[in-house]
Amino acid sequence: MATKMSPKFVVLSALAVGAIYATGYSVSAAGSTALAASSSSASNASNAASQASGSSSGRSSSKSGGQTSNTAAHASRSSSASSSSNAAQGKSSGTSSSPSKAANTTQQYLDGTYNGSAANQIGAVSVSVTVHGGKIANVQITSCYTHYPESYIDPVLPDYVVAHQTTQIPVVSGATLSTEDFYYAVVQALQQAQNPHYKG
Amino acid sequence: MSSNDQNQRPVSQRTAQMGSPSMHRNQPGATNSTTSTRPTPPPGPLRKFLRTPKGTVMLLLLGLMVVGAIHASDRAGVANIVIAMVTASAIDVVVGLMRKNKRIFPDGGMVTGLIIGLVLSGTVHWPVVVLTSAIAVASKHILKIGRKPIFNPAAFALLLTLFVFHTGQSWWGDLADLPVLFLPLLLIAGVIITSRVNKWPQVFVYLGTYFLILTLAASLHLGNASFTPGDALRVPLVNAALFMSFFMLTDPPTSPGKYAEQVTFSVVAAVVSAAVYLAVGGLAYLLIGLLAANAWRAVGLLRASRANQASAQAYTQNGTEKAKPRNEMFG
Repeated sequence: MATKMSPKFVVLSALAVGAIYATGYSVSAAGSTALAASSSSASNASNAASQASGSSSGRSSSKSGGQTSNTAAHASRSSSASSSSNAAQGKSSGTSSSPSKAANTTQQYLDGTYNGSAANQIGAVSVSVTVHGGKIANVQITSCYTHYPESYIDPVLPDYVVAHQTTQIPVVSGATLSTEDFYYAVVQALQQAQNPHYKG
Repeated sequence: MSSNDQNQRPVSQRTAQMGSPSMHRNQPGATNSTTSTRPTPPPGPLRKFLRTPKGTVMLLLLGLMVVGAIHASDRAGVANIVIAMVTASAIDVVVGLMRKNKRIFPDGGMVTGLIIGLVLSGTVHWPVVVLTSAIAVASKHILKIGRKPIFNPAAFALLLTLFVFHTGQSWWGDLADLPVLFLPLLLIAGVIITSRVNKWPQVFVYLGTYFLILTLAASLHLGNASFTPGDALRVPLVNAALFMSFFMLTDPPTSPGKYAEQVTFSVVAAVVSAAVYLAVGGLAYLLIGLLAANAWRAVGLLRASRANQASAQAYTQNGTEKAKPRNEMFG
């Protein structure tokens, strides 16, 4: 066994590694993460993300603490970016398709297919929510670019949303952040499906 | 009792209580007659065990488990740890009995099971946990050179089951699900174990090389959209890298002891890990890097053993001192 490193050298080495890490962190901070990449895709969605983050952060904060604030902040950021990009991209992004704009007041959601996406530090999840007869008929995870397997949340969470007709999903153990992504994506999609004339 | 009270009592009482200076010189463990009144009792078996590297790492990992489990209320993860530890320990004991080892306490199996449980997600079913632990311990006893295992048992089993069974690996023991304020706990635990096993060069070189490659890749805009270098430098992936470097890379039986070899070992592990991450991403890159370094070391050991066998033959033929074999492991 080799002799032990002197404490001074250990401290110096730790500082050197820390400096390398800080450099890499700052270099990659300028929008080169998957988080930033996914935010651009998320910006294709509606500007209701800010409402989604606002309404959901309270629920999720009790589950995952400080990390939820990152997600909420991201959702807000993507929504602010979307306010300008929506005008240019409009519905060509395919955020919704053939919604029935009938002015009924009994259905909470308008029929159609709506897309939503959300991202945090572990990656991005996109969903497609189909509303039929005012109810959530189908939820499909269209892309799951997270660092953990999609099988953690698929089909458990989509099935839950359809079965219970709610976005108040349970947090999947071991997949807290993937659950958050899915939650925000569904909320974002359903914000688009919201019936403005609904008086429930 | 203050020292003044003691000094005011008769000399005979003080002597009876403290013992004479000559007695202290003859008794083992006695240090100073003015500060110590009794010889230090020998440490018990538990304290002895906790002073060993395996005891230390087990204590630290259990601490991380408690912190992670309490915060996340992850009972399933704790159950997986218990299952993994029991399985690995049982197999270790059976192997020890079959080989008639003098010491059959399965501390290695317990640490292996603990690491497996801290990496596997709580959603993994218990049969998969049992299988993963069994593969880990089996690899330790089967894939070895001399008396030392080639691959880190936990890393080998986790990688194998990830590819074959697509096991969920959340690395919840690295405290990534907790607020970043808990990260110092992981670092402190890592500092303690790294200092205990004297693997500072290994950890520094690994982390330095790994971060440097990712920094260069971020500067050059390498990587793919889903697994960018920036992601690997952030929670939760950076926690996994720290956990792996502190608790798996430094595993004494599967990593070199000499500083120069530690540096080479870590460079191989870091380069392979970063390359795999940048190329394909996923979850296995840390394990692949570690196992690649294990394989690199095994090749070196095999070459050394062959060279020593040749030297031994020359020694027996010529009887010269220069040709005497000098391999520590096979000599």
